[in-house]
Amino acid sequence: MRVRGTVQSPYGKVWPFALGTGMVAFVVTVVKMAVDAPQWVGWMPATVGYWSDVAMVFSMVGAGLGAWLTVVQRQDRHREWAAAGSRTQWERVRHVVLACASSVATSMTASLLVGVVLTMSAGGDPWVGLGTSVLWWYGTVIAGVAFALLGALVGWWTRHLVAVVVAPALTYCLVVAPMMTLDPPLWSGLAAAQGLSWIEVAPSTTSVVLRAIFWSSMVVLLACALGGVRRLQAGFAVALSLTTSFGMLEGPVLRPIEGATDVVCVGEGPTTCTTRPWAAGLNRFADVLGQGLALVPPALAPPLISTSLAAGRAPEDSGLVVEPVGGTTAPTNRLDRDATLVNFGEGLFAAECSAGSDPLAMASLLTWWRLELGIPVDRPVLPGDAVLATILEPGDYRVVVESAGRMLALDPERRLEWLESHAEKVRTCSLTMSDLP
Amino acid sequence: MIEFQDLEVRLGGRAVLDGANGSLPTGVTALLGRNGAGKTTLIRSLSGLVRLHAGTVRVDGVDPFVSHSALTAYRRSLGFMPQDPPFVGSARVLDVVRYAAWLRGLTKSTEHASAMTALSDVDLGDHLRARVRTLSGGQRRRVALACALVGEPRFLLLDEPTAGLDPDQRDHFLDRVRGLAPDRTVLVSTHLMEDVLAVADHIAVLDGGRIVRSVPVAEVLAGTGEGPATAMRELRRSLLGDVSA
Repeated sequence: MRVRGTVQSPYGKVWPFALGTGMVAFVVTVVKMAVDAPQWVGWMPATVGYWSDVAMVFSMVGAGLGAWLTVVQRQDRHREWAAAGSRTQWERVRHVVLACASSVATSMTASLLVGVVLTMSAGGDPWVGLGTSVLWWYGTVIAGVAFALLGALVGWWTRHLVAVVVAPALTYCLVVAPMMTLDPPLWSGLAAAQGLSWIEVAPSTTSVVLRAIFWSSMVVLLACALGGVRRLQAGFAVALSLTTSFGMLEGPVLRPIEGATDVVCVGEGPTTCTTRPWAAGLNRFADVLGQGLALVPPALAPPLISTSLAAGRAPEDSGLVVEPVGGTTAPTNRLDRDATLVNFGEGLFAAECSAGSDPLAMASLLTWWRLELGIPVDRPVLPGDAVLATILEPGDYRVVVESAGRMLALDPERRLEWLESHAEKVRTCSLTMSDLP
Repeated sequence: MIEFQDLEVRLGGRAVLDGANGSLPTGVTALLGRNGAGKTTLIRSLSGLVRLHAGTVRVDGVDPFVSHSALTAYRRSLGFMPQDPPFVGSARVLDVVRYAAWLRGLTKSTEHASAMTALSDVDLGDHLRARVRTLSGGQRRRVALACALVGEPRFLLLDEPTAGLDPDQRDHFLDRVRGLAPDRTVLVSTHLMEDVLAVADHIAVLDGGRIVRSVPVAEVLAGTGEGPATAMRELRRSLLGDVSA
């Protein structure tokens, strides 16, 4: 029997654990990319948007694996047996760390290649996000090494399997804290990258000293982990890490996807527009809006409806802005009819209204809108959607429901006539309860 | 040859080794003594696993604890088998021994072949893929012995290697140890006289933290002038009996 590679763990060969972890991480990444990809022009932007999650998840996985592979080495009987060998404690830990980091690097590389290939096969431009993706690849691998080492040290110190939980938790705090607390522009820029068709990350506002401390510590840990590797390889790795760290200090800056800000429109009276990445859902969006438009007279129908992503247009040229909503995600190409229509109704009747308008009249109109379109009024259908029964006094709620019921009971032609005659009041937010049928 | 002089080790304020002197020549030396006599501590001391409060150890005339490089070189030539082998149950036999080879400092190119040889030496060549938890107690002992043997170390320190084995397993195990002995220095701690007769060339008796007797087995046997059973009784009386007296 021929077995390749060395065995550097009391569990046996480390590579099956590393490979298994890497494969799981790879599959999760590709599935996530596949889910997000329809919303993008190609795959790479989705990949870029996902990197921040990947960096965090892979670092935590590396830390947990490092802790698990190390704890057993510290249990009393094993410690004595292993100590009688000629390998130092540091050598034993370092090989565990490198195995964990190799799983991170392998799965990251595989994910990146899949992103590039699928983007090219879909006719997209893989180079749009490649630079930043590669930067994130370096960053994640550095973080993977550093946090696998952290996990191994936690396991070494605690000598207990609790380290398998503590190490990822500690890693979460150490990764998320700098990204969210210390560097909000970088984090929010990348978070936004998951929802925008083009990305421009603001320069970091965190002090240079703090960023330098964070990334330098990562690089020092990497250099420590590679300490026993041949000098040339170690030097190359550290130089690469330093270069990457320097890049991360300034934060990645992406250029817009070529053509991604082009506006695409369908229909007339009204015309519905969006930007190219969302074009796949435009017809469905227009159809849903049409269900609401059928309930209002031409006097209330806006000539132009656009998604909030119609970048490049001045606000006054964008017409009524209605954000396509899918479940808890906005914007999206996978439309949730009810949520989108609630969004549309609020834009149609209440977009310009301030606190000075009659709240009961507005609530009555919006309640009728939901009842007429078969949208539940007793539960929220989109984030931030308030349930009237919980925010109105019982007396006011009864009044609102009764007046919405009267609107609903009107003959459709009669209701259209009423809406047309009160269109000016609706537009100027001066509608009162006494105006309602 | 391993020599030690005036070894003193204190654990929890008690002197477990208290001026132990002795030498381990080529061949098998049986380390005898009652429970708590300090057998395990002496083996751990010679492995460098416990800190010596006083005394010196010399391996072929060189102090192995004088520097990190000397200790590393010594441990490359040292096979250690603890009383209770610490293997992970889910690990495979070959992987356990290969890990021991890696710990010993063997290179990637020799690790696999050395592990195969060691497993073959202990008759586990047909259990390479078996998981440790599926093995019998005797087989696990043999895995531990294979771990100690991997890389063919010159010095073997075996701490009660036959504890918990049935008579057949013990005989088989001791045969293996006997076969390894001619060109190695082997120290076997035990309190079983049968083990001594089966494998030992020399006997060292430890009591109260000191080596109180150190004699060749042949000399002891010659002195009794009787068969092995009587010799065993005489041996126990003359060695341990004298010690307790």
